[in-house]
Amino acid sequence: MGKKYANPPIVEAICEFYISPDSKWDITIPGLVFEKLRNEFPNKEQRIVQEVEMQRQPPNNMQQIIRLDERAIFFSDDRKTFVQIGNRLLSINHLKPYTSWSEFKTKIECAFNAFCNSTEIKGLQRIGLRYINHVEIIGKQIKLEDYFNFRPFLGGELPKNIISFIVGCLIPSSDSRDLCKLEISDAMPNKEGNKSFLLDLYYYLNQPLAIPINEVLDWVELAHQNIEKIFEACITDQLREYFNKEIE
Amino acid sequence: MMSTKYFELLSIPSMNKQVVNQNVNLNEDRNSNIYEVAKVWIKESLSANVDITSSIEKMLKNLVLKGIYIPNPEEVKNYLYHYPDIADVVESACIETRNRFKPSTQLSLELYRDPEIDDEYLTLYIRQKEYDDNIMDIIEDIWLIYSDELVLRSGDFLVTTDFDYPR
Repeated sequence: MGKKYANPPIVEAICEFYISPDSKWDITIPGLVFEKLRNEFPNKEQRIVQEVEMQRQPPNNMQQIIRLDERAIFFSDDRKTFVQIGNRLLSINHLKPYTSWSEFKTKIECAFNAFCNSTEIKGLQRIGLRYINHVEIIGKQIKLEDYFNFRPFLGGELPKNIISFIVGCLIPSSDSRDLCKLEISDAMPNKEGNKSFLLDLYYYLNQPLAIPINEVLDWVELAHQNIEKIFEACITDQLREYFNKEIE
Repeated sequence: MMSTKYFELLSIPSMNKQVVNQNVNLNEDRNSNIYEVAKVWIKESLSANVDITSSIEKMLKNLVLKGIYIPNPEEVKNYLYHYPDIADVVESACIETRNRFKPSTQLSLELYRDPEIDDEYLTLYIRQKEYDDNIMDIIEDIWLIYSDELVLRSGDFLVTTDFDYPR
């Protein structure tokens, strides 16, 4: 089990599943999923989503297709957890306060099983697990290196007084079957006079159909283990103390 | 034919399904590379619109850049996390309001809590050192544009003035 912090920085955790194009899909599926989840996610809403598709038309054309589709969203009573069902998409979002992986995983399993029992899934095009962390440090003048091992580096004669930044990289895992997109940027502080940052870790299946349906939840567990390792590697002991205060 | 999809969350229940096709012709020897770069970028951005944090952060940063004062960002963020479907209306209305008033007018995005009943909603307060005579007409104009958009949203938002001095 990973480390637990008294003040965990997680503001949003997301687990998402994109099913393969040959899987069965129609507009009745969100309703079928809702019937299976309505005890835990009783509040349903509907949003319009803009979907952009890029199609390559050899040899010289690239076509952008923009269309609007509906997405069903099922909220828990406290609106801290919700399930989104879109066109061949299932996502489970958990907002702060994030209590534990075991609790989030239970919700993921529950939603994924409801999804699987509502349509015929041929394969998973993509699976993703994402943790967005908001780190707020008191004080206007801080040194990033005191808190982050993953940060922008401005060498040589470059000015050091940056006011905004975004840095990202992709880290391969499991022989590049999976990728972890790591991103850090400055963010809007919750309180005036503080500095704040978003540390965004997105671990996803890079090879469509590489994970059979019956191994999906094992993949999610592995993704969580890898994300946790990368997160711990991104931060310094000083930041750990800031989150304090490990409970276990 | 190869295709890649990404998604952007909007919140416009009144909008009908639309499809817009746009053909982009590229120089032959550059086409392949540009497509591959676009494909990777889009693929990595696939998750971007399933979350709500990025859109809230981008929206608030944009409003601050446009000169909107947010005295207590934490309260505003927490409200938007609870009612994310009003974020786009709030952003558009704030920018429209900014465009309607001179720069010396303070626009302050705050969470209003009704002391009488258990109710709270986001409010954009317009504050001036010397109030324009037609300020209520301008507010009504702005409100006419956005009030319909809020009808089916879960959260609430108001553009108004308390005739207070800028803070």
